[in-house]
Amino acid sequence: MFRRGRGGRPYFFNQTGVPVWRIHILLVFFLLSGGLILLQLFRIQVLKHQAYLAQAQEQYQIFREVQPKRGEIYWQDLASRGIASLVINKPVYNFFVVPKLIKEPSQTAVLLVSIFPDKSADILAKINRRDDPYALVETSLENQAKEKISQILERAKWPADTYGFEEELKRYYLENGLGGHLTGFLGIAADGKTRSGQYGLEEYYDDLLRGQAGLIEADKDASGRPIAIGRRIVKPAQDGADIILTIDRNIQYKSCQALAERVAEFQATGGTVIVMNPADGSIYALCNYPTFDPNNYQAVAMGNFVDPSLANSYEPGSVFKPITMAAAIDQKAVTPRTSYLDTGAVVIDKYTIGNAHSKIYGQSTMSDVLDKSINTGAIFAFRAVGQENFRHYVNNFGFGKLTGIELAGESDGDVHTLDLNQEIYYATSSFGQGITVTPMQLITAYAAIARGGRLVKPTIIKSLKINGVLKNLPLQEIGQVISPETAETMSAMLTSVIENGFTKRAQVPGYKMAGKTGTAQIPNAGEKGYSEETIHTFVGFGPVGDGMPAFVILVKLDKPQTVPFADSSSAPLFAEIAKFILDYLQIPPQTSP
Amino acid sequence: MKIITRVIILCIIITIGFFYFSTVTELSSSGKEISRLKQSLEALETKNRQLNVELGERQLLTSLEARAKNVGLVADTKLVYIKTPFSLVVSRK
Repeated sequence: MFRRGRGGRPYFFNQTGVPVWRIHILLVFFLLSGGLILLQLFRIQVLKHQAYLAQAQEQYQIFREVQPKRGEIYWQDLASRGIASLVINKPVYNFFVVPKLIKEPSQTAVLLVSIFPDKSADILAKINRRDDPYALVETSLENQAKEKISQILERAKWPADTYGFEEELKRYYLENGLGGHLTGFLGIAADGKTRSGQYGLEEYYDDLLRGQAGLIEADKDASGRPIAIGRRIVKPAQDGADIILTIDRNIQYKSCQALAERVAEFQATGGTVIVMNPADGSIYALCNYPTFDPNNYQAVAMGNFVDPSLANSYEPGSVFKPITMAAAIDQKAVTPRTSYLDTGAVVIDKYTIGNAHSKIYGQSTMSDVLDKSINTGAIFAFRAVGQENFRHYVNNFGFGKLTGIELAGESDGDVHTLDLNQEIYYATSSFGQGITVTPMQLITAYAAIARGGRLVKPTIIKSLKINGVLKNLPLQEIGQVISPETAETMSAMLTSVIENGFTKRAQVPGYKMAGKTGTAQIPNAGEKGYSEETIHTFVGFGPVGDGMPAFVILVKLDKPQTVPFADSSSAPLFAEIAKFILDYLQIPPQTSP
Repeated sequence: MKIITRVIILCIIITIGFFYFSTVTELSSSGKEISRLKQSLEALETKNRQLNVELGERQLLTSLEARAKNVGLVADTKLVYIKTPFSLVVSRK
């Protein structure tokens, strides 16, 4: 039945008489066991290598991402020749307890409820989770609140390992609503998790402000603390850059305060004030009303975050006439004394364009055109320049283009009607209708007149502090738009507007100011024609005379109800802010007031 | 000879051991000191941040204006500029 082995023994017995099948079974057993061990080793060391490695590292190593500090924002205080904080990182604290280490939950709950009475249900539920190593009780506690809670818990002799405070840096915007549009805010990104700068500077410089996260990889001891002499790889976090603005907080405060008061007085729906230093295009103040508090941005409707001084373009009205006049004078097509006969209206194709209130001024000079804000005179000046040249100047003054100011959400306005090659569009554009501009474009164009005809990029950044190194931003001149002689002539003509024209309320006693009003009708939405509502603008600069003016100011009031014209609304607001700046910068009067 | 060799080896081992343990002890105490200093640095940084916030809040223009009004100060709008031989001086009326 069985094959015979050597020596005639059955095959399944060896020489000592032990059955071979038992050895074979043992062999198979060991082979299977070895195979299983090999398989398990393969599973552990190859297939699950990463998981076990991570688990082992978790036990003896610490990996910690080091969050960078978001850069802070400062503004000028010219009075003290220093800077002051505008946006800082405020330490706030999250209070947590360790339910699994709390020995007397009911007493603990009573004490916690006495500290946080509005969270009683939440506290009870959290403390009753007996295996929970971490239960967050309250977030964003101020330092004083933290100190107070610590004192209460210490007095109650709470074990130190049953509770704790985690520090967190919260973006804190000082001066609340004074710079909401300017700074923007740190909100939640589209992914719903990470924080990102939104609107204003926070959005424009988000990458720079954010910095770069670092990493700490180190061996840890049994209690989880890093071993100081152990293996350690440290890639330090790179903090975000600090930004130092050109905005002066005192001028900003006065401008915003005066704007809010006038908006209320004239029952306007809103307004804008921009103050620029024409020497280098730096912005001293950028104020809008209504504004918002970036500390509490969640309570504000989304439409209010957009900065109207940059994003909302509008038909500027007569405040645009000096641009037309500058083009005509620069082309030597007219001089301030060039005269024409105003008949009260100009007919172009099927359209008749008249002066405001259908006034007829008769023989008028170009100075009269600005002094009395004559529409037909602006058309006369544009015709003297010609369509192509006029369009060239409008573009060179920066209309229809972004100014490049370092704030998110800038609009470029709309001057496309000048590409249509129809005289009617040019004619209306010459006195500020049919084209749209932003307040920032307008003040930049006036600054070019104030600074000898050279257009400069407006800026709100004085310097950036990157990795501790302060980098000043250079002046960026865009080009010579009009000749210095034309600029001087225009300054004189705009001075005459305030001294001899309809805008006497923009005067500041003792100083020569230059400027122009604009009372612009608002186009009907989706229909032809204009509504009865108006936007009042004044753009001016001063003191005019010796050297470069100290400031250019734009004042815009939206839909004021109690006054019909800008000379009664935005012009006196200009004078009020100008007087403050003259005193603040201690600029002596040119004449006895 | 053999005993002397053994004694020398033993001495070397003891010396190396002594240096090893003293070095480890020193490093360990240095490590603890570094940890303590780090904690102290973190506490000081936190304090610095809190003081920065306090400074910012005390310098708020709205708060300064309110405090100035409380002590009876009013805005000075009448400046007088006096010419001196070398410069111009601003004074208050």
